[in-house]
Amino acid sequence: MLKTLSDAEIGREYRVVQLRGGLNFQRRITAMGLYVGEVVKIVRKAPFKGPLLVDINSSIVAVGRNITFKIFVEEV
Amino acid sequence: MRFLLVGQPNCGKSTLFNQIAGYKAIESNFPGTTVSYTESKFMLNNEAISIIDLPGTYTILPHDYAERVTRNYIFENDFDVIMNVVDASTLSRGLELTLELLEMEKPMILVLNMIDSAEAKGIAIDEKLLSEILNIPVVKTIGNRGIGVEAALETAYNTACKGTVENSIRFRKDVEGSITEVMKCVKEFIFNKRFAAIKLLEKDDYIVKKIILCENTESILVGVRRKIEESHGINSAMIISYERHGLAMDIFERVAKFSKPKKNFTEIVDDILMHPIWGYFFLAIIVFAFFNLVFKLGQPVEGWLTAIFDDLSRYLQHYFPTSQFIGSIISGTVNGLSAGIGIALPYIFPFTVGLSFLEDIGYLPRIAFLVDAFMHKIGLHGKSIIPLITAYGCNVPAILSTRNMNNESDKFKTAFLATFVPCSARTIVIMGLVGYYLGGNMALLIYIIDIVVIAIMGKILTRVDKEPSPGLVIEIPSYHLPTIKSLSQKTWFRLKDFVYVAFPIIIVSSVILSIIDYFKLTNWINKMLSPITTFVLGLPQKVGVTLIFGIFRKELTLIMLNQALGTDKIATVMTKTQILVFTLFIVFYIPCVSTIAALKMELGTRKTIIISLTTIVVALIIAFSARIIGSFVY
Repeated sequence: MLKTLSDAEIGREYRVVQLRGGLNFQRRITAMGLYVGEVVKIVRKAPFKGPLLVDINSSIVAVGRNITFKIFVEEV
Repeated sequence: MRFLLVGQPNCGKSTLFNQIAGYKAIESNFPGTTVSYTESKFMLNNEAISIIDLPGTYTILPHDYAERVTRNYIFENDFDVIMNVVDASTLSRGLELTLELLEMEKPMILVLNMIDSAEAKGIAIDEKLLSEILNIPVVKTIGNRGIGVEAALETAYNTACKGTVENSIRFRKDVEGSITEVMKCVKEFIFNKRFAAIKLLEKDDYIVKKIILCENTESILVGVRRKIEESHGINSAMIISYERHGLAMDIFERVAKFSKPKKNFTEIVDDILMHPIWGYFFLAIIVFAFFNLVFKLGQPVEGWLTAIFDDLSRYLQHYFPTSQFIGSIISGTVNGLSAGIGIALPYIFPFTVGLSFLEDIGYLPRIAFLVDAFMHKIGLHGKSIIPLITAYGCNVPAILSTRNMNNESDKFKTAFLATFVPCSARTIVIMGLVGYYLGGNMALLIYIIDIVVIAIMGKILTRVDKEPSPGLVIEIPSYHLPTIKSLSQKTWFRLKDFVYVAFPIIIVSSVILSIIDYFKLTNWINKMLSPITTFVLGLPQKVGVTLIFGIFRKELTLIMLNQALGTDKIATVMTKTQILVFTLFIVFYIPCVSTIAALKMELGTRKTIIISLTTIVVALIIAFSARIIGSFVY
């Protein structure tokens, strides 16, 4: 089922299926390794709608909530 | 010869650089205020080598200021070899930059750094195979222990002597087909034509401008872009990134062997420090302990320093009395030195060391993670917290560091709010007046009021400047024990802004203040300011001149207040409300001259004027409200 990274649960793995945003957004997000097709794991979530901590090929990246709405994922 | 150190953020590049600069340097050139790379010279095989540590960048397509510095340096300067530093524990991502750099076909070596942390993560890398695939030398290093550094330099030297390299790595067939077609359009470029074609597909305006196309080929270019975009379904600028990503993953899987990772230290610590509840608890403790330590340790040191300068100034007055013009200039200079050193050494220096320690150990990005949600409420995101914390030491480096923000709007908002943060100079005033006469709790209240004002101003700014913040995307590195060298380099990097920007201004303004005093302009200034001081704020007319002093140097208001009122027992001549009103006004009104200079450097004149005028309005509102509330309470 398709959902955005914002709905992802801690400890689960997801495959990125779509990045919905302009070129700058795509460049910024892929520079951190978040490519379409990549499998990522949610490590942590900050409270109060704070950022998500994502494990991408063993590098850890904090992604702000407003950005997670633009990253579409499916459960692996 | 010139070696370039290029790598992604957190790859341990600077630690490696410090190892080289530390044991071989004949001269180390620390960065000025406009450039942010570091250069060091050393001797190798009887030849003078200069090595340049460029800011970390994920790709040569920059997203922020630091990354632009790196790209522009590569394109605007000559160099003999690139030492591409990669964190072995995140090799797959690091290789994307490696592949991009290889496209330039410049002499290059790969420095596989932090192999110890890769091993801890259960990743073993076959460097011989990697070297074969990439067709460049690969050297393994552990930067913080200096292992492999010597070998890396030798290898870089030998590679530089050999000259250009050939890059045989190719993308998938259809992409290569498009590249070949675009290559036909390229007439001239400082690097090879294939690289030019790739950059034309990637659409980096800065690089594209440097490419000279053959006549009437624009339409071919547009056609090729359209064709490949149709078949891939994404922007041609992204196609190349995906190609590199795919290649990097393939190479990584070929050269890496995996075993079970150890439960690493970082994860264990993060379970506590990034915990949804305990994380904030420890954040509060760490910040509170940090500020207390710095200012408690600083106070006695400041006392000693002021005593030394007081002696010096008395001694000089003996020969050059302040009643003479030359004497007043000299006394102004000494006062300036005294103030600059009296603030820098006891407060700003330990504050900066502490901040650099938190950065080096890896805690700052974690603070950004923890506070991001709150920062969003005031229209910013987590990354802005770092300049704001820096501002508690001194506003100048804080404002200059906003250049690392991702866009202009974030930069403006962060710099604006940073000017409201009470720096060490203002802390001296708060402690010396409110803390001393009204008690510690009232002093704490001022800090709380300050944070509330910053939040409200943030809200207002987002109403005015509607551009949405691009949001937080930040790598959270593993914890690392800082080395003395990298700590001192980071400390200097922040401190130099104070030394080069603020310090000269402090001295010059001290001289100006002496001249004001010499020509006895004090009474005139007091009268001019009386509408504000007496009418609006209900303060004694005599404090007027201290406000002028405060523009030059905030902490001077405390000393000058004693002088203006003719007593060091302020409570005998000012009511509690007046002390509170005065302090609040000092905390908020107009940034000091050094801060204004920093604002002008980063944001230009117009925005600087807007910020300065706003602070006066805010200060008047806050101080006037305090006067009204105070009249009921006291």
